[in-house]
Order: sequence, then C-alpha cells, then structure tokens
Amino acid sequence: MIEAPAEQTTKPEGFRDLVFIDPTTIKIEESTFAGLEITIEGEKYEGVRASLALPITDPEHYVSLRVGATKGEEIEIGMIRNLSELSEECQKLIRRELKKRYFLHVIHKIIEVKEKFGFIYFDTETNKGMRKFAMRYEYNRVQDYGEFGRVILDTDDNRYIIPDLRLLSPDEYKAFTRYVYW
Amino acid sequence: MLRHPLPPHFAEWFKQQNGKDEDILLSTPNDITFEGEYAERWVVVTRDAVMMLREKDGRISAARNFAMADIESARVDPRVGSGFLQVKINGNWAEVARFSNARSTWFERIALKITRFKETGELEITPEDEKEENRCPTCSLLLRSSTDVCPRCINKHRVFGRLLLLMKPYWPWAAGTLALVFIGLGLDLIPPQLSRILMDDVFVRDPNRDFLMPAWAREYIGTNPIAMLFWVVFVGMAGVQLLRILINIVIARLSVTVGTKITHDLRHRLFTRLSELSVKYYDRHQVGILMTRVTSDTEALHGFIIQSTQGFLVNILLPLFIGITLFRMNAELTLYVLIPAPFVIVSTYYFWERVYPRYYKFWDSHSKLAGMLNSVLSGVRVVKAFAQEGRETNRFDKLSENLQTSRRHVDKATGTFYPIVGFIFGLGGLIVWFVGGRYVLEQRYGMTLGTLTAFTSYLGMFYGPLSNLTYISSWLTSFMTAAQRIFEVLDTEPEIVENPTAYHMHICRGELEFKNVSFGYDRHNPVIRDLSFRIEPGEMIGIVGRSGSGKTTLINLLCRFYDVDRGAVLIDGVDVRDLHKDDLRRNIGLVLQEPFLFRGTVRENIAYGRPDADIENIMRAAKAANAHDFVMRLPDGYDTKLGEYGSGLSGGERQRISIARALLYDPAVLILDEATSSVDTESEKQIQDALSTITKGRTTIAIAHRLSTLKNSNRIIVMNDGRVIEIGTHNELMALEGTYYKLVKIQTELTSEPTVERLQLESSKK
Repeated sequence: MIEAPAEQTTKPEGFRDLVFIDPTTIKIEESTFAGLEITIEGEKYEGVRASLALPITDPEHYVSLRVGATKGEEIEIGMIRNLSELSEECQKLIRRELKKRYFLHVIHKIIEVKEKFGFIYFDTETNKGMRKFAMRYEYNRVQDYGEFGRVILDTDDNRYIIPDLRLLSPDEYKAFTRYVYW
Repeated sequence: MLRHPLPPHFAEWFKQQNGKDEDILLSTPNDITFEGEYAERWVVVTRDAVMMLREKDGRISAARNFAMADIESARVDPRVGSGFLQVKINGNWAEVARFSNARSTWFERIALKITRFKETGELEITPEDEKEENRCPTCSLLLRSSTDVCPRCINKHRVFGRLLLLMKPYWPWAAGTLALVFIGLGLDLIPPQLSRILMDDVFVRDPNRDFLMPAWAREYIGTNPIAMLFWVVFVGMAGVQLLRILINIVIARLSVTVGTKITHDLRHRLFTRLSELSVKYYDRHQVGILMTRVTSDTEALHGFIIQSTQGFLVNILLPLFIGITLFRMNAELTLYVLIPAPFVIVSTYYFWERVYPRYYKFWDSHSKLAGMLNSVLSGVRVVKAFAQEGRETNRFDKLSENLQTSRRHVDKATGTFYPIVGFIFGLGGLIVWFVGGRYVLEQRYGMTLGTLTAFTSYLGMFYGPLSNLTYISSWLTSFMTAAQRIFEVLDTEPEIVENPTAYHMHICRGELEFKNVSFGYDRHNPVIRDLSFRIEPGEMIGIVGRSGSGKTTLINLLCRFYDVDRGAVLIDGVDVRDLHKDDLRRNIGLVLQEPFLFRGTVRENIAYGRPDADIENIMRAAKAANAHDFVMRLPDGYDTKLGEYGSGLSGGERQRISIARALLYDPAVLILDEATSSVDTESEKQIQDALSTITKGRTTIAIAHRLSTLKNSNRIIVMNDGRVIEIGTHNELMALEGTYYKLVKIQTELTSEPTVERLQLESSKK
C-alpha cells in the first residue's frame, strides 16, 4: 500500500506530493529485461531502476524507484525511506540495481601522485584492483564527497572516491594535498 | 574501434559457433561486468544476432545473445560512471553489456548502428565512425573537442620553436639584447679581478712577487706605479659598474619592448581566432578560462621574454663563466667551493616541491574566506531574515581556522627553510676562508690575499644563479603550458567554415524551409529529429513547446550557430551553408530573452549592427521600439553611458533598446526568442506594441511561453522532443484539442487569478 502523506492539508489541484512506498507491501522480482519488476497494490511496473536521493551522505535511505530511462519520459513510482526495512531478498535486488547505477572506484591506497604538464597522474589501489589514471589539473575535477572525502573525475569522467581524507596515511595525505589542495 | 579484431581464442570460438569471421559486422570490447568489475568482454554484432561474449573458468560463451530478428532498436542507458548497451525486444529494453565511461563513445555508435541496421538493413562503417571522438589519436587522452590540441602530446620543442618564431619580426632587438647580455656577463667578472689587483699589487705588495698588472701597463703608468695603479683600478671599478648599470637599463628596455610587442600581437591573433570560432566551441569552454588565455597567458609569455634575457641566460651562463674563472685562478680551492653546490641544488628543489605548494593551500583558504564573506555580507538580509547568523559565524570560524592553519604551515616551513639555506650558502664562504686562508698563510698553490678576496666575491655570484637553475625547468614548464594553451586556441579550426563557393545574398525575401533536419549538440543524442516545415515570406510563426523540445535549437540552426547533422535549412531556397555568413546574419535579426547590451552609450548600443547609421534613424528605431521616450527622460539622452550588460536600465528598457537595435538592422527575418518573458506586465505591453510595429511585412519567428503573445501569429508550430507535433492557426489548433489546446487551457486558468498588477490597473481605471 502507498502511504498517504503524513499531514493531510488542502493542496491545490495538480500539486504532486512525494510518494513513500510501504516496505511491507512491495513485491520486487528479477526481470528478464533491464531493471526490476515491481508490484505495488496489484499494479505491476517493469524495467524499474533505483537511484539514491543522497548517494554520498546517506546511501541507506531514500531510494527512488523509477521507470523510463530518457529525459521527459522518466516517472518516479515512489520512494523507499529506509533500505533496511525491506525484506532480505528485496534489499538484495535493490542493492544490485543501485550497484548498476553507480560505478565508482573507492581508493584504498594512494601509491603515487605526479604532476606533469597540466595532468595529475594517480597510481592507486582501489576496490576494483590497482588503477592508474590521469586527471586534468583543474579545480572542478576534484569535488567534495561528504565533509571529509573527495571524488576525483579522471580524463574519461570515471569516478574515484576517497571517502575520508583523514583515513589516509600521512604520506598519502601529503602526496594528495600537495597537488589537490582545495 | 567498431570493428576491433577479436582476440584469437574468442575468434576461434566464434568461428566454431557461428561460421566465418566475415559474418561479424561490429565487434568491440566492453571493459566491465554487469556487477561492475573490470573484466574482458566482447560485444559482437552479426546480421543475425547481437551478443556479449565472455570467458569464465577458461570457457568462452555468449553470456547475452539476442536474435537480430527480435530486436526493434538499440540504445545506451547512461548511469553514473558507466552505461549499458540495451536492445528493445517486444517493447522492453534488455541489457547486452555494461561499459565504463572510457568506452561510452563506442557504445553510443554501436547503438546507433544497430538501430540504423534495423531501419535500413545496411550497416556501413565509415572512417569517421572509427575516429576516436574527442581523443588524441596518439595517446587516446580525452580532449574537450575533436579539434582541440592534445596537451600531453604537444611537441614541447615545437612549442619553443613557435615561441622563437613569434620573435622573428623583432630579431634585431632580440639579437641586440642577447649581445648586451653577453657583454654584461663579461663585465660581471671584472670587478673581483680588479679588487685582486688592488689587494696584491697595491695594498699588500710583496717585493719578491711579480706585479699582476702587465709590464706594458706599468710602463705606461710611469714613475710611481703603485699610487697610479690605485687610481687606475679604482676608476676601472667605477667604470665597470657604471657600464653594467647602463647595459642593464638597455637590456630591460629592449626586452620590455620586444615582450610587449609580442604579447600585443598574440592577444590580437587570439581574439581574432576566438571571434571566428563557432558557438559550439563556447559551449565547451568556459568564458572565464578563455578570458584567462587572452589576458593572463599572454602576460606569462611576456614574462618568458623578460626571463629569457634577464633570468634564464644569466642563471645558466654566470655560474659557468665563474666556474671557469675560479678554476683558472685556483683549481684546488675551486673543488672545495663546489662542496655546498649539491646542497644548494637539493634545498632549492625541496623548496619548489615541498615548501612552495603550501602557498597554494594558503591562497585557496584565503580566497574561500573572501568568497564566503562576500556572499554573506551581500546577502545579509537573507541571513537575518532566516535567523542564520549563528550558522554563518560558525562557517566563518571554520574557514578562518583553515586560513590560520594553512598560514601557519607556510610560515613554519619558510621560517625553517630560509635560515638553513642561508647557512648552506654561507658554508661556501666559510670553506673558502678556512682553506684559502691556510693556503695564504702557508703560501701554497700561489694563493695570495687578493686571490682569496676575489674568490669570496665570485662566490656570492655563484650560488645564487646555481639555485635558480634548479627551478628553471619548473619556470619553463609554466611558460610552456601558457604557450601551449595559447597555441591550442590559435590551432583550433573553426567548425563552421565558409564554403569557398558561397553565395552572396544582400537582401532576401524571407522564405524559410527546414528540410528533413536532424541535429544534436551531442551527435548521438538528437535534439531535432527529421524535421520539415516551410515558412512563407512575411509570415509570422509562433513556436511553442516545453523546455528542451528543440525550439531554441531551431533558431541556432537558422542563424548557423551550428550546422545540421542531416538535412538542410534553406533561406529563399538556398542552403544556409552555401551563403556567406555575413550575408546570412545581415538578413536575420535576433531579439533574445536576456537582451545583451554592451558597455557604451545608448546610441552605440542601438547602432551596434549598423555603426554608420545616423542619429535620426537611430531615434526612429527607438521610437518604433517604444524606447525613445524613456531615453529622452535620461539626463544624457542617447549619449547616456550604459554599464556592463546595460546596467542602469530596467529589464523592459533593456529589451526595448535591443528591439530598436534589431529594427535599425532592418532584417528580412526577425527572431524573437522569449523576448517578453522576463519583464513585468506593463513593460510587456509596451514591448508587444513595439514588436507589432517591427514584425509587419517581415518573416517573424517568435518563441514564447506566454501563449497570449502569439495570438497574432499566422501559424503556430507545436514542438515536442525535436519533432513538430501540431501546426496551424490558433483557431485550427484549438479545434484540434491537442497539446496546444491543453497549454492554452492551463495558462488561461493560471492567469485568471487576480494579480497585484491587474488589481492596480483595475483600480486606476475606476
């Protein structure tokens, strides 16, 4: 069942409120096609994709379930407030779908950082193995990731995350901040 | 590549399963699994199937295999950091493969090829398809555009050669400067030698030792050589110093002349090239960055010229010359002098690598604090209105603390570094005094007090340039980078090029036609799809549609800010690509949502398109545009200076100036892109009145969100997703009860509510 908004107030016609999905009534199944097959109150949705409202600061909450991939035809079926409220099986499927949305490298160790002619070259150990990549030495190629983390966009726009700069070793921290000082 | 040869084991497997290699239409590697792990995967397209091959536990298989007969079309579904190649089967999208962003261009092309193959039965790969879009052909580095120069592969020697070529017109000045640099260096070596003579031949003359001064000079001096020698050496010292100062002044003046002339030339060439480049180029490059290239980068080159004559050469040649002189004076002592040299080099390297970068953090913290202060103090009303003073104070304290920390790091590092370096520099002097002093006392190696004094004098000139040598490469790199950035712009070929056989069309009738036009800002993501319609001369056409439906893109194509991907845009039956750009733009007048006025007078702004227009025509245009009266109310009338972007005028007034500008231009085709959407109701009425004057007898295309502004249109075009979905008169479209009808209904309901402006108008009527 789809939850009604917490407070019933008079809303103008055409006003669209957020819809939160009751985690106990949602049925999530694998699909032979792209996305998931989801049934809510007997209504079936195919090709459902999941995305996070707060992928950096709160990846366990506020999962948006959506159908349609292209601009303009995308519709939100509703949101799940808390992933852990779903059954184990449903959680697994949603997490798998979220993994499909976000392809991120998490940097575990910085082996070397070099600057040469307008590029920063990184040699790193990530959750996806050893990765060497280059980044244009420009301010907007490294952005904040939460309060203490950084996300690096390489020359292909692949994303490399340092979740918390404070967790780097002093040498790694020095090597990184020598170039990425912002 | 779209047709990348399969690795032998995959090729062998494919042959066994599917027949010959020739059956493969497309084959390209995708680099990640569906779970997002790096692995070797291959997407293969044949006439019969689209498949994804993988190797697992030493066994190759088609992990995904879709019969071509079942496929309706293909697409790329972009996600965050990766994407999926999908095919449509019975209305549902199925995943074929996942790829990282590094492979996205190829899969966009593959999706397009599969879809075209399904539509036409043909699959052709052109050399254009195999071109690495926005990538350097040598190192595969992602570039901002296909015409950008690869900064990694740029030939540094060539850059240096080009820099020297820039100096070519000024070679007499450059050669003169160079000659003076050499003379100056020679002069630098003389004073210590003179002081040596003064010491050994005049002050502490040893009768057992020969004069340092040659015999012929002594004979020339006469009877009291010692007294005379004193005067000669003294005058020589003063003369050398005076000459050195003179040469320094001439070098500085010459190099500044050459430097400023070259940078002026460069700025001119850069601006000319920037004005030739298409709008597409500006979509990809931030205006701020381009401004930096014209202003700061050219200044950096000025610095290079100055440094070449006054810094680099001196730093390279002076230690060399002094080294040779010292060796000739006393080889043994020179070896001792060289002892601190490695420390000098290492410490300077350390400074530039470790100490100097701390300044970046300090400057960054400083600018963040300044930025925060600026935004909070400018928005102080908002801060107070939302009672957020406490939070802003916390934010300020945090940034101030960052500034304090970064400043502390800089000062601690420099405070430690400089005394240590000072000691290293001083070490050379200590060694010379100690070793050289003992040589003098023991009268070894012919060492005299004068030679020792000369040694210490040379020492001061030796370590300084030696330490500068350490960061010459870093200086050179920064100059090269600036030069490279400038050459990048100069080397970028304009994407919209004039057809050499282009027609001249001085005045056109205003007949417009879009013929099967397809276009996308990103080639693989069309914004306009196979669009066709025709506008008769003098017709007024309204275009409506939601944001992103392609309305403004139509205007961009008509003005040829971009070239169509397929089809043609015709004016009076001539393709816009076959028209001279100046002629095309002379026939089109543009009134934009945000009128862009330049710094200058009202008169100059109205006459921007026709600078030769006389004041009467300017005033007529202003009158017709309902601008004349408010201009006349300004103290300086048409001579009123407007600030940047027309500051000093209201939005409606700026818009009426821009309409006057379009009117004076007298174009055959007038384009109004949301011309009245950002002004209040009263201004809108005045602008509408102005527009009704200038649109008469002129082909007009008006884009508007407020449908009421289109009521006078001959026809209205409704666009959606790059296509025309409805076309006809207001009445016809209302009768159709389609999208236009719905839009009118929604807007009528929205505007039926009373507004302050309406109430004011009504009360003033009473």
